[in-house]
Amino acid sequence: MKRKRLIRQNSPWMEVLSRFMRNRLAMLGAVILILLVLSAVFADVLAPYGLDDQDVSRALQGPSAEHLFGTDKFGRDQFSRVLYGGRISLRVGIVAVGVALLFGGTLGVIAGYVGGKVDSVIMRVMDVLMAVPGMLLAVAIAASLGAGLGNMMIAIGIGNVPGYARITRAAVMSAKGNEYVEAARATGAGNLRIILRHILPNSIAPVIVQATLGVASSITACAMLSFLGLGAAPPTPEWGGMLSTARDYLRTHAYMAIFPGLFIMITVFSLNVMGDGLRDAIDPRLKD
Amino acid sequence: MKKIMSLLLALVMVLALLAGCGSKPSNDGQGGASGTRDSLTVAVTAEPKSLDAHGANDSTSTMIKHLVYDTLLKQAEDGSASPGLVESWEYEDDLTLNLHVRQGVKFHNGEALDANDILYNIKRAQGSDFTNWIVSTVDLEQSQVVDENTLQLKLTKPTGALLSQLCFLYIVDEQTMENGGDMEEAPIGTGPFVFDQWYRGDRIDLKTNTEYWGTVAPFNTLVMRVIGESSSRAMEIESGGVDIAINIASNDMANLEANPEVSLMKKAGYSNSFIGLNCSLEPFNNKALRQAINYALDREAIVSAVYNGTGSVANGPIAPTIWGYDPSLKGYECDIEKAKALMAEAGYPNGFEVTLTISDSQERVDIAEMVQNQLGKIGITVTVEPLENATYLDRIIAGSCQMFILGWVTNTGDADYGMYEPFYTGQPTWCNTAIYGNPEVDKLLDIGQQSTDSDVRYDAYCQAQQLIVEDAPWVFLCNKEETAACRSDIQGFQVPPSGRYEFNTITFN
Repeated sequence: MKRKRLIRQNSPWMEVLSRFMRNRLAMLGAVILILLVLSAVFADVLAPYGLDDQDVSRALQGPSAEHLFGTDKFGRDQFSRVLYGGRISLRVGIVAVGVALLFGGTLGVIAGYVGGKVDSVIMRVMDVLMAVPGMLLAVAIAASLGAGLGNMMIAIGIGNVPGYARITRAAVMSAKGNEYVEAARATGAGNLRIILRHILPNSIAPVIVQATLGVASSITACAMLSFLGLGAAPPTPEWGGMLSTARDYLRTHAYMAIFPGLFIMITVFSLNVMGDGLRDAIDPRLKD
Repeated sequence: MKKIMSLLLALVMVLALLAGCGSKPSNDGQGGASGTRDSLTVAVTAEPKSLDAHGANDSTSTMIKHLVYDTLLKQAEDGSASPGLVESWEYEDDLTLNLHVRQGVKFHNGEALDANDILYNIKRAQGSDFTNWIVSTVDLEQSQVVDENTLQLKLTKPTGALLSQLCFLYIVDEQTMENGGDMEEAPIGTGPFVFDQWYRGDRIDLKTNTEYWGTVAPFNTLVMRVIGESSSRAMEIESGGVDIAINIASNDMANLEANPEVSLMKKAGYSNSFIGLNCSLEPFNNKALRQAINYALDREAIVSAVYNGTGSVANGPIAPTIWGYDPSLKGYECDIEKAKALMAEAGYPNGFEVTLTISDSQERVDIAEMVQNQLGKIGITVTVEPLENATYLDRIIAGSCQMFILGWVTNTGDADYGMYEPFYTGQPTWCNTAIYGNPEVDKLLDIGQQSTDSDVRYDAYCQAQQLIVEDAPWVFLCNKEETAACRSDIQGFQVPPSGRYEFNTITFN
């Protein structure tokens, strides 16, 4: 009884937040993620060495107090490089999702709101894109645009556009039929106003969940493209790229692969549990 | 419930994956007591480009050609020429060489080898960009077949290195060629192994030539497996999945050395690696600047990090293993102050920007990363441009790269091929990649090429090396080592400095 009253007093978003806070695993994910973001943002303060401080005399040393994660073949401190690498990986994850969200979201809203032939055309194009596996599409785009960080973000982003278009379209279509939209239209609101004020706020929830999970998959995609040599140009440290160079040393200096791999894993894990938690909090009916 | 199910499923998948990774039992059937076996498996680094005797000369192509074809002469261990398909030879004068062809040699299709075949091959080799250097001074009009087993070669000019070059002329069957045979895909030679099947991306199967005029291999099939990843090659040789692995990465050596079932072999090779500085383009059309780069780089550090201590720092254009090497060469010491002074002299006191173009091999990416870092310290901003290998080579041949990383294999073991091709003015850009030219060097290289007096040649090459080092068209990086590993029950396997391996002379314990 008491709880019900409490919830009724809060806005819907506060309600979501309090449900999210009660999910311990999701909170753990959020805390780890915040730590990771902070470590990446303050990498230049936290890192004991620069990202390209080569010194061959200390090459290939295992983890020690001086070099927490050991050194690579050029004698660069792996710990510092992992911290700097977080900047790239997280940025790629977020920007790639941003690109996907911008294009996919816009197309989805148009398709869902306008409907009819426009809807058919947009969604058929999306279907075509979807027919190509996302990773393959990203590899193809990255290969044709050339290696580089910017191109990689675009490549991963485009690969994700159809997913966001579909989700947004579905959410918009279900919101469109509600009485409050009809009411808004009856009071003479324009299309843009209806979309921005009434439909978007009521259909954004599934998109947020998808985006959180999308950042995780974009980080893995980024690691994969870097592993294939289509990512950030050296000496820029990137977790996937670090894994790729560690590959030759896997049997003799495994720590070189373990630490960047561990960071990819932790980041993806925390994003995933946070995304799951968000979904549960936003729409408890979806649980399990 | 759902969660338990999904966990179980995940477990099953992981187990299936592990089961899939399990190593296959080695399939070389242990042969009879007489030390023979059914097959020998060799791991090589890359897919060959072409098996045509007079076609592409990348290292795997050459390796396989060396098994299927024979050369006119063979390279002895000290680099001198010894009998091959030509049993004996004599110079009538500086311009006339008589070759006596070995009798009773048969091609894999049963055709007999005679002097006509050899003249045909010389003609064909002259017409190919890849092999022209071997026989470029042979005068085809004047050369003639004396009898079935004797060929008289006339030369357009004296050629001191001709005999060592003839160790590279592979002989194909004239008959097959004239009937439109495809030597690139289905080569027919006289070599110790008969080409059987090419499974692209996987392996090439060869059969032992049981009628070979030399040593017949003690096994029936030779399988050349393409395993690009160096760590995979090391794992395969350790597990016994292959009998011999070519080109062992330095970081795998410690493991292999410690393994009693594997013997690791190293030999100072004929190849080097260098950074080419394009002498025909800004900014490296400036000698002081090229020297500055040579002084600025810490090559000790590069060799120790990239090659992990195998090989040695190069101080000139050819390796000490090559005949004609000048041991008094000093090379460039790392000296930042000198580098800065030279940069100022060249008119770039505050540094400049340059693009370093590389192929995407790990070795070159690593070198580029270190060069970028080291040159950055004296204000030179290096942009690294990695390209796919074929595109990369096209760009170099077009002469449009400012700075690039390459290697040169002086596979004749003679300074002529090590210096004439890459440094003589006007040589094609696939060999004179730095587009270098110096009339004095040309003069010396001409002497070296034409004289048949080895003292005169030696002196000329020593002087030429000093001039080339002074002009610095390359950053001389590393003299490489040839490396290979074989299972320890294999005897008599040798690592040749030129990378042209022979497998018919091995024996089994």
